[in-house]
Amino acid sequence: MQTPNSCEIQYSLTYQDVVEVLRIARESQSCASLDLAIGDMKLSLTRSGATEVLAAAPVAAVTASAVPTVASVAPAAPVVAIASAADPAHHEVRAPMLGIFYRSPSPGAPAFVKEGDIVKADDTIGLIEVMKLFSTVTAGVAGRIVQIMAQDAVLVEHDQPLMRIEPAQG
Amino acid sequence: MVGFVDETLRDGPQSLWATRMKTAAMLGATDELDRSGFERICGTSGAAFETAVRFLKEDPWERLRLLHTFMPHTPIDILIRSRNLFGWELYPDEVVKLLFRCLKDTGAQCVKVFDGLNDVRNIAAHFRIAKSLGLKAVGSITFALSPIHTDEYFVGKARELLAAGVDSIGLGDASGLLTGPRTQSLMARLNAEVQGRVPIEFVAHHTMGLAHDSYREAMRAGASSVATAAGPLANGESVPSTLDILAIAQELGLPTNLDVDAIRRTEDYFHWVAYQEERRIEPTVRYDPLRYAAFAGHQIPGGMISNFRNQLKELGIIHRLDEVLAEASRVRAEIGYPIMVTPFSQFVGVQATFNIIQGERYATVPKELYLYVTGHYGAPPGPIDPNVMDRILKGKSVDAMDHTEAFGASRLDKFRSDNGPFHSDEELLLQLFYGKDQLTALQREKRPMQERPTVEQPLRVLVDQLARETTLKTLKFEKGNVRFNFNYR
Repeated sequence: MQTPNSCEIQYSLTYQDVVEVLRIARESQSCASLDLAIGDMKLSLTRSGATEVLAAAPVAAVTASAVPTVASVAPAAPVVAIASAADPAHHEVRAPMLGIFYRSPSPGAPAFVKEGDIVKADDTIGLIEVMKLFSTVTAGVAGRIVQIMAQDAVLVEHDQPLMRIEPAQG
Repeated sequence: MVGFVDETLRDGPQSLWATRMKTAAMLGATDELDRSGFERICGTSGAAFETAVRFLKEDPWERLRLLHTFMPHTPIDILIRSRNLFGWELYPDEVVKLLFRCLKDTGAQCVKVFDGLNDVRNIAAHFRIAKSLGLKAVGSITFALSPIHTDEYFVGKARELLAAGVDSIGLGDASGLLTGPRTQSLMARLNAEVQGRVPIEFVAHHTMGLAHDSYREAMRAGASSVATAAGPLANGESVPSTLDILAIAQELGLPTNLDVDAIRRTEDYFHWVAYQEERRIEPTVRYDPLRYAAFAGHQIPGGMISNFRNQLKELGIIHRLDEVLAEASRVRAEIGYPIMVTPFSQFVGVQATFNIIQGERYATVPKELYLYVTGHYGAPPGPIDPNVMDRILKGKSVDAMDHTEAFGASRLDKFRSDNGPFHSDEELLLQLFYGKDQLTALQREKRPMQERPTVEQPLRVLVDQLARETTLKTLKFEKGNVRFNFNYR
């Protein structure tokens, strides 16, 4: 396909033939021998012992897991662990859904809130992104942020605690 | 006479391969594509640009330049997503201008512009800008099936596009729901309105197995061109295959400029690319009225449904997929039947998921949906259910919003002084669309192409591949004048 006059070269073997032969050769791992004739194409093969057959298996396994999903990249567990041993009077702001948690409105901008801040119930404390859509997370109660449990730009699970708020008295 | 617009490098990979076709794979086909006789070849889109940067770590600008270099005889066109352009925000006119100028500099000759709400106000400036740069501009009407989207509605859109100065009108059915009879009536109405002042182009996805019918009717009604792709990148969620539509054109007695030998070679080559990339070849599906009815409700694009499955799996509620899809049908109707293309398909899908997960409808509303119902993206096609509107606004009053006011904003100077200097406008745009981290990662990881990758001939490929086999003892192959024996150690 590279040279300018390549269109004049007639090849009797096509890429589709190649794909067909490779498929047959690779999908017949359990056969010790195979004889095949399709149209004017003839293919026969024999295979050595069972040990090599096993050797082929990991190849398939590698390709199957080669594409990591976004979700599996960001481990959320260590963050959750901090959440134990809390004051029961504190209000936990929990993730309303699975998604990426952002503490600031845009990269580089100051965080919505930091520990020690006083918030009102409908103040925004962060954003959660699901499939490129951003939802705001509000404090839920008025009070003081005592602990921020979720890191910025990390995947959070549905219902995972994000922050702890000491509710305002009265 | 009917022209063919090739989508082997754009719609095909975007609809079937999660947009993961590499530049090298594209360049292997350029000789054959360029001599196939296409009216135009689509070179890229917002999704292709973003995927190139984010996942393939390939410079999408370089790809466009190379495609033009190696396909000098065929005009390259570019799909433009309204004011999102190649990013996710709504950008003002000056960004449209800069992007179009950069695209033109790569050698592209045409832009195809669509707006998911068919709000022509959003894209009128695009046509003006294209014209001033000497780019051809196709204004697309995006088809949807809903009580709002009548033939009359689309005729009105054609009128608006004509007034906006488009060079041609594209009728596009991304969901693949256009039947033969509906295509016939719609094309007749459009022809009556347009009166031959500009050509009408046609594109539809074969998702529902209806594209052969709709293409036939579109061509019978005098469509100036139709969009198709090489077999391995056609069918399923993609456009129908070039050779299938060519057969229909021939049946109708319509002449074309296509070179069948070149198209066959392109197809054959992409069979090999698909095998290497572990992509399945879509069979042509037959129309199934049950599937049609199930899909017509939510119209969530197939590519998004697979994403969706992953999300629901993560949440442990994959068994509730059907519920979520049924909910998506309701949400879609309640928010005025937006067309289920990016980003509106996300709005509907994500809201439906929230509604199901939380057990209470519209308890959580993404910011974007709020913006949508308040007119930030343009006018929703139909009215929004007042109860839903109340739930979304949560008592807040809506400022009467004229979103077109923002179109004249200037932000590039500030962006440049805050983030620059940039080596080029191309770089600036990549950072504007995808952020600094992505640009830095791209610059670090991309490998500049020194020369066009060599494409090995089939026999060489076969021998190469078979030589790597580890489980074979002997192999004998024979076809035509090709014959070889392998004895493995």
